Amino acid sequence: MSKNSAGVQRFSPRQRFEHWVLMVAFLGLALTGLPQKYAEQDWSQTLVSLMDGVENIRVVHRVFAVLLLIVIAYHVTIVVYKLWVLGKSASLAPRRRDFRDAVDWIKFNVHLKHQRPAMPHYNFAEKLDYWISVTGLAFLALTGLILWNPILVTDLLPGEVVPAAQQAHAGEALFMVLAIGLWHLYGVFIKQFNLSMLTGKLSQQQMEQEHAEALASEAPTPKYAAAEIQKRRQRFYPIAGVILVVLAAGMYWLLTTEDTALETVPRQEVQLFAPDLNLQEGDANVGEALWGTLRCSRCHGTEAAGVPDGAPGLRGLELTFDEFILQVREGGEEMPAFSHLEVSDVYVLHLWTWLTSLSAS
Amino acid sequence: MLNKKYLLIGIGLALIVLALLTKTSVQATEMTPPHQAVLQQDGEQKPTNAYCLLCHAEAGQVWELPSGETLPLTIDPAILADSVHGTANPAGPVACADCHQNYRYPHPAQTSQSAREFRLERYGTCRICHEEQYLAAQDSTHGAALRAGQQDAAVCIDCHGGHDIQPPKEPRERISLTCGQCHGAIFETYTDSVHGKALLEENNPDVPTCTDCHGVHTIVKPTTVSFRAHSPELCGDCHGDDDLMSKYDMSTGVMDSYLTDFHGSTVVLFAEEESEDTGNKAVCIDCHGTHNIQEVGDGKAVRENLLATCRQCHPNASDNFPSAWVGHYEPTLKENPLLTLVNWFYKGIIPFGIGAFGLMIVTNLFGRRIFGRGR
Repeated sequence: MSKNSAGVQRFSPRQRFEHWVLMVAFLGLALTGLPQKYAEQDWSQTLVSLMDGVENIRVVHRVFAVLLLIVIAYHVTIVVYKLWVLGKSASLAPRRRDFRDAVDWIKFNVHLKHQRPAMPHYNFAEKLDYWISVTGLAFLALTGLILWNPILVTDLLPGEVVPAAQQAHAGEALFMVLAIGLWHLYGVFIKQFNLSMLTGKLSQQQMEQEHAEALASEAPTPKYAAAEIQKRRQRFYPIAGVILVVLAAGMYWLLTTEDTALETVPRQEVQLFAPDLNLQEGDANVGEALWGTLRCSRCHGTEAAGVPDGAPGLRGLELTFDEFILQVREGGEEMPAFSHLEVSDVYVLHLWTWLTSLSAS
Repeated sequence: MLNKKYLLIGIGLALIVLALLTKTSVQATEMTPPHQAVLQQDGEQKPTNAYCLLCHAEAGQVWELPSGETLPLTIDPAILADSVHGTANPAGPVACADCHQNYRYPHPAQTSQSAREFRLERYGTCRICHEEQYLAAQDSTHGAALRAGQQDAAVCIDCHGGHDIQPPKEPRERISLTCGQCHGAIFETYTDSVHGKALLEENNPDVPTCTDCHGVHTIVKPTTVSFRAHSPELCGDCHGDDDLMSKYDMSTGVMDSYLTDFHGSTVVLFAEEESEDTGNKAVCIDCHGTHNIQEVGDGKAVRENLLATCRQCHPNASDNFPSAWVGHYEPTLKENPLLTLVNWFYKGIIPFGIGAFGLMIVTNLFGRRIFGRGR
């Protein structure tokens, strides 16, 4: 513990930078993710429209997701480096005494104990923050990647994994946002107004209250000698480098192999007016009904007997079906042309069947 | 003479008050302004029906239009009396001259070239009493088509008739039959659907007729992205209604499960945008159809078509892809163990975990306030 007049050094610039990058990724993901979970809420719809629509926030969500994946890879690399190369102790690993500290802290709060617990460098409250984040973000990344690649996943696993991942992604996200929003923010803003993530330092008084044990204890002696650390470092760099490159390549493939949720082909237009039933035979009764429905009768007369000085009568038609449909499709001198969108092929067949069945007037 | 006029006005006013007090039918409430106002227009004495019928009752009269079409000039007063504007009208029978305001004899020359032109010139008369419906129809897709030069687009009298207007919703199937006059192909498809069969064969009072989904006078164009994006709301009006669905032993979970699903939440958010972007987000009708909706039954037919349905938008979907859709019903431990366990887990951990944090914070706040602890 290095002490000076302004307080105790607690976080290195590197740690602080990591924290703020993670916070940006976390907030970005929460802001673009939660409205998708609560699509029916007004606030969701307001947020989504502010961010230029649901298609846009899906892309933005993925950009922040990539940032988060980078932070996760970075963090894991650093942790392995610190534990394996530098031989530092796992100061964030949960211990049984953390539970006791938590109970003692509550007892102290409600006056059942007069002494607040003397807590280590990372106390139980911070370990809760850390482990909720580590497990939550890893799980969110895993389920997110499933949702990113539903076709690939269903090729390999039962389909139920996809909706389960969706519910788990949404549930875990909500839990994390509430837990961090409540516990972490209470801890760093209200319980103690704590600016150590900005300044890197915590005041002597706050250290005494929150980390009395760490303050009292001597700095631990290094596990490895400098030469051993140097040896380990030389082995660590190439191995970590190779693993990270392979991981990055694998992740690049995973993130670009499909875009099911982002891109879908445009919906096929359905011709509402033309049911293509592929009928081989027309029905004269249907043809008769269609005569009025399609308004052929307006020009050719209700009985298809024609109108004087107007459209010709069509009773007892002598045209073949092919000639008749050509007439309908291309029109004639006065006769308008009707496309298959207006009068389907099968309707023309019905009409032709009826007209040819009539006795000529 | 003066007294008689006041007496008539008094009787007229009394009739209006009576009509207003006793009006029970929907038609009466929809109408503005009351007929009496029309009758008193210009303060001019309008001819009685009997006066018009002096000529128009004579059988066999036709008017030949320049197009060669003929329109009957003979009126059967019984048909008018039997219509909604006749003796059953709560606001009193409508007179010939109320609608035909060119009643002065000799009648002004007609300029219509065809029967259709004549009808298009005539239907504006409905506006005198039914302004709200008239304006709504003008704003509808029919009105737009008419302005775009499509003369066949439906106007008031195409759907309601002229002299023979009957209550448009009685019997209920009259609604769909009316639309079927022009939209024959869709009507035929509808008659084979689960909704159409129930309406036409069983007189079912709950299934949708055309107007339940498309609207009555305010019929909008149904092929727009916006109509499509909002279409689940149409289905949800009935399929999310517990009282209605319990009558048919159907689940309202279909709407909830859709809205929880990726497609549903996407569509809900998309529908709020004013985007005319590609409307390729799955809605109810993409899997169930529109006018040809069939009973789902055991869902086997839907399942068999599912891959083809998925591929409409996801062409690369593989054989197992549809199994990611777990159906519309509440997941059960037996059917969807993983999904059910996930749901249970978060139903437990969120209130439990957040509750625990909350309690710990409360003890700290409590300690600070009461004992000055924590500082």
